[in-house]
Amino acid sequence: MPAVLAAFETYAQSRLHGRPAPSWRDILFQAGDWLLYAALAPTVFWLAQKFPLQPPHLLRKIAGHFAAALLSCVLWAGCGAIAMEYLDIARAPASFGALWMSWTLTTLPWGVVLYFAVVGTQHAVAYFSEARDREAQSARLAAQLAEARLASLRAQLHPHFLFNSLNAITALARGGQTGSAVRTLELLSELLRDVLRPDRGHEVSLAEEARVLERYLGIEQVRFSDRLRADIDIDAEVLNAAVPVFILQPLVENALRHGLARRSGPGRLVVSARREASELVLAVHDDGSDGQSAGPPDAQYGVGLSNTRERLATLYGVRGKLELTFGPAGTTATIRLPYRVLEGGAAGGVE
Amino acid sequence: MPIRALIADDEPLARAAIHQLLASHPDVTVVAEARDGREALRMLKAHAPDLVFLDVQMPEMDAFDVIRVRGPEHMPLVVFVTAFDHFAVRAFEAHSLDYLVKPVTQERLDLALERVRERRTLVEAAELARRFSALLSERAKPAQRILVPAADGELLINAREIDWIEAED
Repeated sequence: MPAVLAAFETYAQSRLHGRPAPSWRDILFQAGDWLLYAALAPTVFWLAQKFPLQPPHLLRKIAGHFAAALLSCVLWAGCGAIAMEYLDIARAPASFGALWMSWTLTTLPWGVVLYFAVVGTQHAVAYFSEARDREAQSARLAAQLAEARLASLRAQLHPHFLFNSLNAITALARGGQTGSAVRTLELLSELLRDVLRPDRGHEVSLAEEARVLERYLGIEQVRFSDRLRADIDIDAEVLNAAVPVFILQPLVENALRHGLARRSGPGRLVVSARREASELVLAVHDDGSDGQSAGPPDAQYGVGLSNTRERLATLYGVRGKLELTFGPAGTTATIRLPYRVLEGGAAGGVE
Repeated sequence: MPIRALIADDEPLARAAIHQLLASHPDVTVVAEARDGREALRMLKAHAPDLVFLDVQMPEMDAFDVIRVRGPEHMPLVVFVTAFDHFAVRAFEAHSLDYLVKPVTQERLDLALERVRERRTLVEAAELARRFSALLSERAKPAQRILVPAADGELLINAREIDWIEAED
């Protein structure tokens, strides 16, 4: 484009000043000179990419680019001088060296401006594509977060639990036990409200965790009315302790599914929490092995707990632990994590 | 022809739900209930029912374990009952076995019983056994537990706890 414009300019200027039409060589040179710079431009672009004008060593880079700009003028003018010689259009007869020097000086202002124009273009392109990358990255992160939320929701309230509970409620209603049906529906609604609360952080007070667990256990007691007794025993002093939201529920579910299911008679489940020095100790105990079935419990016991282990490791590193102990009196899952009072924890426990 | 049915589910209210829905079908008699897979096996042997409502997810022995241990050829007509199990539902559909999802509706149970009655008029026990076998082979996995007869019933033994098996005359 500049080459065409330059050719036109040369021609038009001559006409304007009443000079005879310029020779085709003049026009060719004026146009070709621009094309010479076009050949240089990719190198400049590459240099700009390699040494972007940003810290560290910003001053050094500016100086380097300035030197490169001057060098580009010398090269550009050199090529131009060769072309002039070749086309035989030098204005005054002089040695090639003098021609080169003179043409370099003529080129200087334009050459430096052009050099930095290319550098600027490169920076604009880079900035634009970076911004687009950043946007894509943040979209990806948002999607990951949403996915994690959904996964945790599913882990917290398994559809199996939900539909089995609804099935139990229909049975109660059909059987005329409307009082129990209503109470169970209330428990389920409260539980759903807790789980779906949008402002729920990833940590809650132990008091709130216990309240959610009470509702969950209340529903489980309706479902397994003939074989579950559950108690929650939490020291008053740890009610405001911070715990990962819904950390106990998978342990309770596990105890119900693999521990108590082994019993033919009614089973007992105890959830307890206490403080040991700088640690908060949460335990879920079931009297699963009722003394008759010896040996370790169900091989599946604890398989569902890898999530809980991962969560504890992510949140607390080596200070977050989950241990399973099997004994003749049953199975205990124990969580240890750093004891810390939840900021504004008192409000978290009260509705 | 009366239908003698077995209900197997680990939740008392889930068993009650099937019981309630069967009330409007005087030709169906519930001869037994089972609280887990092992009890289901015992009841299948003891009562030889015509029909079993089999909860898919029972502790220790699930519905597929029950069919595997009992043997597909010895199974009565089966209506699977499941709360939320995409895989199972797809498998049942693939093998055109009947299943109910919880909460079970009266309409859906009526339809299932309709199919049960139809099947009983057709002699297709062999065909059904073939379908069960196909269903089981799709879910094929090495036996994790085996059932051993003992003095007071059966013992369920974890395969990984077996060191060796020996036979004596």
